[in-house]
Amino acid sequence: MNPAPDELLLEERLPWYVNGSLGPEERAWVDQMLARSPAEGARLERERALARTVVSGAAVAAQDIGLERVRAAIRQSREKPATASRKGATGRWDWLFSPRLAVAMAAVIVVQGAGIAWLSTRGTTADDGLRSVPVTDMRTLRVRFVPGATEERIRTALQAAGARIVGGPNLVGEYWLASPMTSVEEMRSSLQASGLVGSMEADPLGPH
Amino acid sequence: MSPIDEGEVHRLFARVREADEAAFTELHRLVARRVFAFAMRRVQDEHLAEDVVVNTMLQVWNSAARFRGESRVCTWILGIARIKALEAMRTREPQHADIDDYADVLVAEGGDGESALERWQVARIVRGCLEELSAVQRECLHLVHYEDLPLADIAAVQGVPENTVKTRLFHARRNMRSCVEREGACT
Repeated sequence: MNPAPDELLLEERLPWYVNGSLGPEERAWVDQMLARSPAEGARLERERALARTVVSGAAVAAQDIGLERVRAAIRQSREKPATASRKGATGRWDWLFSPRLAVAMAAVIVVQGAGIAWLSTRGTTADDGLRSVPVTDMRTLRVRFVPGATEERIRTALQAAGARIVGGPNLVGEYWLASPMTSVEEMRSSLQASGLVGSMEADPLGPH
Repeated sequence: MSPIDEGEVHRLFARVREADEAAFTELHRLVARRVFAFAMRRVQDEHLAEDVVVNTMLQVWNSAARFRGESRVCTWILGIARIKALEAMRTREPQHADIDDYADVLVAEGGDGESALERWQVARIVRGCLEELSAVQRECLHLVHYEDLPLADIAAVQGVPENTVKTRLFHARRNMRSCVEREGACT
């Protein structure tokens, strides 16, 4: 026999009754239902027991858990721009600030950027085997390619992953990739295997 | 879990939006334990759960200025934690907690003889059943009974319609009941 609608509704509302988040009207209705018979009271007690189990079984940690690591990461992100703009740095990291390296890096970025821009404009042609699908219908990854990645190698890797570029680069040189055919997981593992991606993060919101 | 002081969270968060590091430290101390407990429901690994706390709080710091106030701050933070936990899960297979881990908790509850043993056994069974639930069902029960969140907030954290939350909760409670009955414990 199927339970009466009132019983189903009571069952549905009991968790919120126990956690105290029901509105006054719904709460009064549950009170009324519970007063009908001892069986309903037992049902309430069962829900409370479950609540106690959930609370007592929860993992416990110190209030400072992870705090030092977060602070260190914040400090690091603040120091990075300061270090990069520092003039007259000395020591074994001098080469990082040398004009020659800056020119070389700029050249890599220009070549890579041009190639990637070209790829992103032609990503939906039939010979790629990719359908033209709105970005919002797909799952997206935000990636940064390694400095030595050439346009040709990136194109091969994207084809293997069934992915195409749908946005970017942003201020830190990241691109958004999407795939209408494969899952984010498949896309991620395929790109990881290519060795061309320095950082990669799922980004359900897509380019923004 | 003792209820969180929402007013205090909002006051601190307003300062965090102005990049006040001292306020961020205080906010971290208020919410990090909750983020950890929540993450543990899904990742079931203390180190991974700590990573989730770190990544979540970093994102809170970095995105605070972009928070539009469409939900409570705590709900927003738990929503971030959920995404970070999902990302963390991709890096490692889920590991199940050893049921013996609960022994020290139960011993600390005190009591003696058969009644203590019986309580220990019942608690062990119920907690074991909780571990058998799917991650989303466990997470749902956590949000209801540990965070005491209303239905709309849980839907926001899990990124699903309210009816989906109701369905998940319905199945979670039904699975708990049948598991407990199967194991022969009375709660």
